[in-house]
Amino acid sequence: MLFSSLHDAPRCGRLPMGSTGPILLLEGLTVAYPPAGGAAAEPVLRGLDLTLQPGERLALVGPSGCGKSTVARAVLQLLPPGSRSGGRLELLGRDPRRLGRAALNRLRGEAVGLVFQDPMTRLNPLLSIGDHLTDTLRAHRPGDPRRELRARALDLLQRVGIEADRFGSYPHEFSGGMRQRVAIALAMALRPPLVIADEPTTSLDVAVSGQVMAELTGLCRELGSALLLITHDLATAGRWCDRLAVLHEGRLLEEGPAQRVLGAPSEPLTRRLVAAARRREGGASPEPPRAPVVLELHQLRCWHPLPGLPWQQRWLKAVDGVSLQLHAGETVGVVGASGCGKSTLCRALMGLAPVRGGEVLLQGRDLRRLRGGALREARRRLQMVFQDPLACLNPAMTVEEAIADPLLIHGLADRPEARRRAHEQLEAVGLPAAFGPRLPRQLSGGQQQRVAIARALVLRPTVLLCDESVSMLDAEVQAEVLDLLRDLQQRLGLGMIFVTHDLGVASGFCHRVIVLDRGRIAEEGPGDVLLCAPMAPITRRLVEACPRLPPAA
Amino acid sequence: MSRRGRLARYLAGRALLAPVMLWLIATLVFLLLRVAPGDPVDALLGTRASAAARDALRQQLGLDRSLPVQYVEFLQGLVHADLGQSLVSARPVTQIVREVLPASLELGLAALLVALVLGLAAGFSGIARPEGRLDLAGRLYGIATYALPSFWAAMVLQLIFAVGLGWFPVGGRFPPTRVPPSGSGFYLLDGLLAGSWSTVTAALHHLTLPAVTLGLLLSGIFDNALRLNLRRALRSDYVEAARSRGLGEVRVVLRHALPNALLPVLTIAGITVASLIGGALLIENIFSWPGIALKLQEAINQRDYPLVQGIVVVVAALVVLVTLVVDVLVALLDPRLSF
Repeated sequence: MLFSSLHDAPRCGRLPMGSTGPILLLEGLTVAYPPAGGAAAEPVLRGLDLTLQPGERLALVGPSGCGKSTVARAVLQLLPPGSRSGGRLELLGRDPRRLGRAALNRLRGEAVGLVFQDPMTRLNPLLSIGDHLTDTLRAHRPGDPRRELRARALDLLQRVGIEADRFGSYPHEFSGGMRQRVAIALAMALRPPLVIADEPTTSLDVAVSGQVMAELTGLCRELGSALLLITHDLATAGRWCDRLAVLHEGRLLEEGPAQRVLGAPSEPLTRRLVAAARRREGGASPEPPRAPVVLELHQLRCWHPLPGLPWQQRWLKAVDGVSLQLHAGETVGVVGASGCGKSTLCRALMGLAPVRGGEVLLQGRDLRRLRGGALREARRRLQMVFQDPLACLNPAMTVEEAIADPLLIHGLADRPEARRRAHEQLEAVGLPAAFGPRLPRQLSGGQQQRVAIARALVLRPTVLLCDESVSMLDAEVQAEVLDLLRDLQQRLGLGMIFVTHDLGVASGFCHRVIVLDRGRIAEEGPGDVLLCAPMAPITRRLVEACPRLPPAA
Repeated sequence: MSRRGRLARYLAGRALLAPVMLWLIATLVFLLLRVAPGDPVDALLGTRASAAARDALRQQLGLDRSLPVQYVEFLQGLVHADLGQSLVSARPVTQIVREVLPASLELGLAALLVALVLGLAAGFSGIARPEGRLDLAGRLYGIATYALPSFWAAMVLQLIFAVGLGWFPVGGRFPPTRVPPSGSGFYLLDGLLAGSWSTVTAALHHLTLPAVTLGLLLSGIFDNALRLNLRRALRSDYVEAARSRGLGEVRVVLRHALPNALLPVLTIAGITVASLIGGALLIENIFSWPGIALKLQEAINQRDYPLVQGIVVVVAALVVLVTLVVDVLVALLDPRLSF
């Protein structure tokens, strides 16, 4: 009923859609990006074979850098100019590489809809949500009257769960999940027989990503579109797709029904990936160590004033009375859905967000009462590792400069000494000294995060805050970084506060877990217990939203 | 609160702030002039005048009173739109400003138009083929016009087009043999209103060379700003997303990239206009354009305190106004701006 106007839409000028044959056919597809800096680029895809039948849902998985996203770009011809591509590539029986501009533009959108990873940057900030939709519809159906386009755009929005009165809202007024819904509506606007979703939920939190995936697959089923889901998350792939294709170094490694590939992987790499993903789902929480308390919070409150009249002040209570004790060598996980206040908690501890009330005792001294030199000294004992290592490292600073910088800022070493300590630190996080003169963007995501950890630890802190520090990494790299953190903790006796939206990761890694909901502690205990027997409704929601791998065969 | 309500509040706030800024500027000007070396009495009478004559003049000008009294009188005048009297000509400062300001505004607006057309065209030219010949030419144009010393460029253009080729008059605003149109003081507008075609052509004939010179020199800023912002917008994620939905290149550029690239250019244009109002001195000088900058220079040389004070305050008021207008425009155009 909702979609009736779409179904009745005139079919004139549609692309030929043969009912027979695959939607997408790749045979020996090779793609190489244009050479950078004079060196001939290694091909990213080296002979990929893949077919997708109408209405099928296929997940393309693999470790980062295996060429997953390149497949989407190749199909839509969004490769940067100068890229080379060979082999067979057929979309609805036609090769997009041989099409002229106009035909290619019709193919994009009408034959394939693409949903990107980062919903924050993929929408034009100056265009309203409704204009995005009508703009796309008008580009493909130039003759249709304005009123009809608007009605269809409204229909689409409602279909992805966005109220009609948000039609005129702008992207910045939407949350990540809402924006991704808009992106889905845009990709589906012309009812393409194929939808490619490139890591559509990676930047969303667990609860929201479950809803978004449900919308996406539901719409695909309703319109009979095939779905090509590109993801590094095996559990998501297995939860939402029938078939799974594992990609490695630009080739197809293994392909089959999702249950079979995940339950009984035949290739060693797939087995490793599945094992890493299983480890993420949570293991037994380690026994907490007996050690002195290093950090203590008493009824910490971070309230932000909301705009309003001065005599009726309203507050956004981001953190509202959180108390906890952290022992040396202990890891406390802070888990919650987005907006629960976990990042504000971290920022408040670092002195980056204003604290409204309560006490923060670092080794018995109240941080809020310290001033000047004593505060600087105390801050040195509290360091943080952020979510996005590339964003938090100065792009113009080499790795060794970045690591040495805190020493220079605090005046703890002169330049040669700082350099020496930086090299030591590189070694401690498992990176070769040769990485010293490199720039952050020349490293992989995991290596960048190691550099960020090295920088945080060079000041020999007592407490390390990790704010979603591993959530951008794929399962295998994530496990490696977690191992490194665990190892460093044991060697240095670090107290760690580990903020994450993923209860599974927290349960295997942290000694204790705190579940935050609307700024308050909802539940507290060992992670494995919370995972098996969640008591608070929010914990139950978090556990249920988490996609899980099928049991091993 | 609705967006419209917040916008209204923001505008009201900005409008209330404007007089405060004006007062601060006026105070600063007042103090600076009193601190600066040189005595207006010396300038008017020469150093050899008798002490009695000097005292008489000092009293007549009100310079014998204490600084706070002078300041209060200055502010009182300001509130009543009275900027005092020129020391040299004994005419009200407001009257003098009213005579010279339209000339400067006319020149500035014409130059801005030229700069926008040339600069934006040059900035847009390379879009079809980045790093292509047209793009490089546009980039060179931007750097060259930006780097050109304005007095030198103005004199060269004057030599070629006025002295050499004789296409345009060397200087002035209107043929000396004719009576300038009366009315607003904007000759083009007055001519058009009066329906006198010969007035319009005569005014244009004089305006063209200075306006094109000034516009040319300013266009480099717009060229570079648009080029850089457009290129950034075209490489952005949302443009790639728009392409992935099969939008034609024209639509991608005009609807998605250009508006995002023009927003920062608008801010830059605002700053440029603000600097133009007082900053066209060299051009006015070389082309003997009877504008406010030329008058200011004259007043400074004659130590005509009230006139200098009055002109600076008027220019500052205009700058504040332009900045306000640009801020409001940006706020209206950019939905992300929160106020």
